[in-house]
Amino acid sequence: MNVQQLIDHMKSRVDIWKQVTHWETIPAKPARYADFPRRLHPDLKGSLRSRGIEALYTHQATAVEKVLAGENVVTVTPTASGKTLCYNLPVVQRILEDSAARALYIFPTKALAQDQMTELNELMRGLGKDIKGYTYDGDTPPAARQATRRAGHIVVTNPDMLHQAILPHHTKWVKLFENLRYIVIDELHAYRGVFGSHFANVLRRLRRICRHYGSDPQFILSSATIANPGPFAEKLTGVPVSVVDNNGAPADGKHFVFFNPPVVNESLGIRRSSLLEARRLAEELLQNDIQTIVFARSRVRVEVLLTYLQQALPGKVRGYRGGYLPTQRRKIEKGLRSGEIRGVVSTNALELGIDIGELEACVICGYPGSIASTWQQAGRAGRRQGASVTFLVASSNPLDQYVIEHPEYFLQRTPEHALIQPDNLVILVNHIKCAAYELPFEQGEKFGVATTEEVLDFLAEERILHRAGDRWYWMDQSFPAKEVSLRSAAAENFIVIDISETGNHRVLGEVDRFSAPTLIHEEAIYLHEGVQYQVEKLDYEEKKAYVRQVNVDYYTDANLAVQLKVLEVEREELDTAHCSKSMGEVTVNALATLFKKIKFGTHENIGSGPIHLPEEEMHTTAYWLTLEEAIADRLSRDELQAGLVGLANVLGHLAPLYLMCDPRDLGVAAQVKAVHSGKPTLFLYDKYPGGVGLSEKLFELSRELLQTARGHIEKCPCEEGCPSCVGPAVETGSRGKALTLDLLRRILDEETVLK
Amino acid sequence: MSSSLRDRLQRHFKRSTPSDTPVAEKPEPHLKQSADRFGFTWRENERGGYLHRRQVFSAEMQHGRYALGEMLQGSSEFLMKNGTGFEELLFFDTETTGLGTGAGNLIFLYGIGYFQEASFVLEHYFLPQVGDEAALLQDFLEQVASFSVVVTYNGKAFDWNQLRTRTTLHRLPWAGEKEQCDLLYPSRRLWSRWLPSCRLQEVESACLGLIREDDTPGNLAPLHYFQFLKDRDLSRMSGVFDHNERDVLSLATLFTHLQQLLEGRQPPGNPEEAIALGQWWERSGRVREAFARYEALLSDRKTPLHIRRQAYRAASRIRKGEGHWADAVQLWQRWMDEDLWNPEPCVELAKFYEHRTREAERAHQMTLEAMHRLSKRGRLGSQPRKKEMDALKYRLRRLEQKREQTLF
Repeated sequence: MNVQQLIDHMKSRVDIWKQVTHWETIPAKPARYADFPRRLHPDLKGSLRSRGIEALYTHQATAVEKVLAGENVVTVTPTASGKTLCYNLPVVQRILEDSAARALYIFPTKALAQDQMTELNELMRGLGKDIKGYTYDGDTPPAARQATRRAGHIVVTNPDMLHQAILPHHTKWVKLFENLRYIVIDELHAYRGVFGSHFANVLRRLRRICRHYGSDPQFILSSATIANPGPFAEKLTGVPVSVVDNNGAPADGKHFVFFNPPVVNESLGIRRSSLLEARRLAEELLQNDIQTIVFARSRVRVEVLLTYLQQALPGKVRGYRGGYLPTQRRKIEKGLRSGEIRGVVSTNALELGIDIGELEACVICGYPGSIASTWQQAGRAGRRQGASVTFLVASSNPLDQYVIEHPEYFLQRTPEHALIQPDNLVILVNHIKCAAYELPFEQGEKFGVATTEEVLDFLAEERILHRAGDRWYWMDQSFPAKEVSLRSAAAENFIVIDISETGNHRVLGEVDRFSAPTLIHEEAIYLHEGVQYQVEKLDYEEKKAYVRQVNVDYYTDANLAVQLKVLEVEREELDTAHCSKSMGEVTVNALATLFKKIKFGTHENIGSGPIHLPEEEMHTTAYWLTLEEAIADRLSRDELQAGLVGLANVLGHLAPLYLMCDPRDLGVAAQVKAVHSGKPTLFLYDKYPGGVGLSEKLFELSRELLQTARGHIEKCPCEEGCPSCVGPAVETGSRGKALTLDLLRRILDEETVLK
Repeated sequence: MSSSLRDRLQRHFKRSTPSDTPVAEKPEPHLKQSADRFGFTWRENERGGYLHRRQVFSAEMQHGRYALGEMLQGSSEFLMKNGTGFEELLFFDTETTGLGTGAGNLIFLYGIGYFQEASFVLEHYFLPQVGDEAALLQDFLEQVASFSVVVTYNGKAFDWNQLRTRTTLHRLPWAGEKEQCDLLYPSRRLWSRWLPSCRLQEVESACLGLIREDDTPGNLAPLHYFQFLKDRDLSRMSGVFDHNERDVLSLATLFTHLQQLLEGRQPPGNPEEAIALGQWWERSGRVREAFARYEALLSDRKTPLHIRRQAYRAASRIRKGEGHWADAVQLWQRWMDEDLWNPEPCVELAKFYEHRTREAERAHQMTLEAMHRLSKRGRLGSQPRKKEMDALKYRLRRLEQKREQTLF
């Protein structure tokens, strides 16, 4: 069966149709073209024509025109719409006009940078001119580095290299910085949250160094669809940016299927596992030789699904996620392009534009957390000719259930806002240090915030900087960029070492510091490429986990106990008559307490054990709701507890509807008697030191979020609460759902009577 | 909000005990006066001011095992291009605030030495006001412009490179393309086999007869400087000045020592150095001298086996290459008798008998002996050399065939 036949067949089957809440057919869209911009260099026109390109898509033409007119531009388009021409054309044109001109291309990952070089070289081959493009990353051999610094017209790199290798050594890049005309940033939407907040500061440093060498480069940006491309791009780059979104690229016919696993226990509201349903769908696709990509939300889920699917199609299905080594990843990408690999199970690592060719089907196991991500993942399936299909399989968590029951929300609403907080104090100060290392700060100089000088004076008191006259100089033996990792809170990752074979220990992968207590505690089952390993020893000091291959029928899942303390209130408002909302700084202490062993297949709990690891402490920002006596007085402590926990569950899960973040970027905590006020309080906090703006946004959206939560709980068909709304009754008690709803109505100041 | 920013900064970044508020630096009169005590004078140009010291040492002054002027009697050809005069050499060493060559690593003390009218001049450029770096750099670059060779210890990668970084940072013209004579590399070639490390101090005490007493270790220099910037007390820096002065003088002594060794005027101090010297000569085309060096090592009964082995290997290679077969065979046979566990000389002899004299029988015997030695070594726990053994087996088979051919 080809993919169209299979789609028709699946559509007609009752067992599938019963679980489908909506089957969206997106018709094919013809291309819209525009003439070559008049200013386009004749050589470029010739080169395009020689490749059979007689016109540009509308968005390409607009973008090129605007850039040539001197504007900063962000092009917003879906996957595979020819966005690279939007920046390659003006860049190459500028170099044709002035061979001293330079451009810097920044891609979020090394792999993407390498893909880009292939494409750039193709364009330049057609020109027959001596334009040199080089990648500069950790893999660039030392001998080639010098040539890149001096002779590269186009330097292709990633944010981490820029941060640690290029900017601190800017004197070796004089040619580049003196002549830098364009900064190209692709996959702009990838720079949100912590990573984006860091990156915005790296760009501040980059522009500062350009100023030192007398250049003022233009930005050419491209992004997947998000709600706020313009403001987001401006916040990230610090310059005014013009948005181009008249997408003219053609699209094939697509089927987008909303799939809700069947309810297996009516009263408890328990649905069949999304993992098992995704497995069933993917197996059917793979067995019909449809090349399929499966997305799962966590590393563990990727590995579990991989184990299942490898049984269905031995040797042809691979996993893909962070923590795999680069060479391994390159091999998998290649296998996908050649078609040798028929299926791949991935985390959102493959969401970005890494070239894996065009697949025919996509199964998304669990809502990825944002509309933007979902479209990116679905975009992985789609061929020039013929149809493609995407199944979105909902898990039982409230966010998934909300989306699956409100397909119109998903299909009609604009995607989420990409949020960053470049002025997060921890991030900002670290980059001010890096910037001071690169060039001394001058009095009156502003680095992002008006209070720059206060920060500089503080650092001088701490003897990291030295104030001399009207300047601040770096005066420390360390190399500050080494101490700041753009990708996670902690610079150091844990290394996972396989000791199965005596005398042949090897590094399997890496785990970041905050995930370590829950993923690689002793006795944890660590899954890698579908193979199970048990952690034998975790050397917390040395940041090493020693694992040995095992074969068991369970995986492990760890509990985290969280304590929260308010340090400072930044904003506070009476939200409704009986409830106030606040935002401010808090301390969060997280302690991994115990783990459960969960059986494959049935997912039942078959054992548990304690975890003995030190507590992690973090200062961050939080948004919280404080209930006044009028509400609290009428409820018992237990009732209050149940209602708060229920509400915390719902809010924590639904908040990502408004924030372009993963549910795991947010933490929740409920306190019947908060330490700072003695009142019942519910916290949602940023899981990154200092916060990256999620709490601010929640503070603004407070009421809307509460209303959405009420609507969602009311519509949920369960009786006493279920994992899809307030949480299962075992967690909140048999009246959990009613109590939560009652609490919500009171907060929203509506007249109700407790049942 | 402002006091709150302070609180938040302290919460996230506090690392030290409260310190005095930083003072903005200005050229204080007392600094200029105290500079006198250390022989420094205040210098100024349109970009600012800095401290400078010039010391002149007589050529007869002894530093370690040589007098400073001794170098002038030798030649420079083994360490540099032909025809470079000694007055063109600039001995150069710096003290910096950190490691690495990034833009934030500041050079706060520049030390240079050079010969002038048969004396050795040592100059120090010290930066008491960070903001005036450009003033110091400008004068410094002018001063070093006329020299054509920079003599350093690990300066090719570090000190000179970092000078370039500072120059670029201040957008000053760079005219520092000079021949680099980095003494770290020859030191490594000669001494890495027997010295625990090739740090300058290590080389000084082992080879140059220099022991530093109450020296300020180089890695503490930045901390002294940071403290000086706070309290402007120049006496804190005197240890660092002394340290740098000794470094520059040691460069001259080290240069002289290498020169004398390479010229053959100074006998090598131990067999390790002797063999390394022989190899250096051999590589630079001075084969006869190299061979003599190897022979001397072999005729000395005290030379340890692992050195003799290298000497045999090198000497027999030279003789074989020249076609002096009788000499080569004699060397291999002596080597074989002395180095009982080593198959190498047997293999060489096997090759000789097989291809030169075509004595298949003797070649066969030698191959068997080589195999015997190789397996003996294997039994003693050294890694079995499968490839070597396979090659020998292959040779043995071929020789057996040849032997049969000659029999019938």
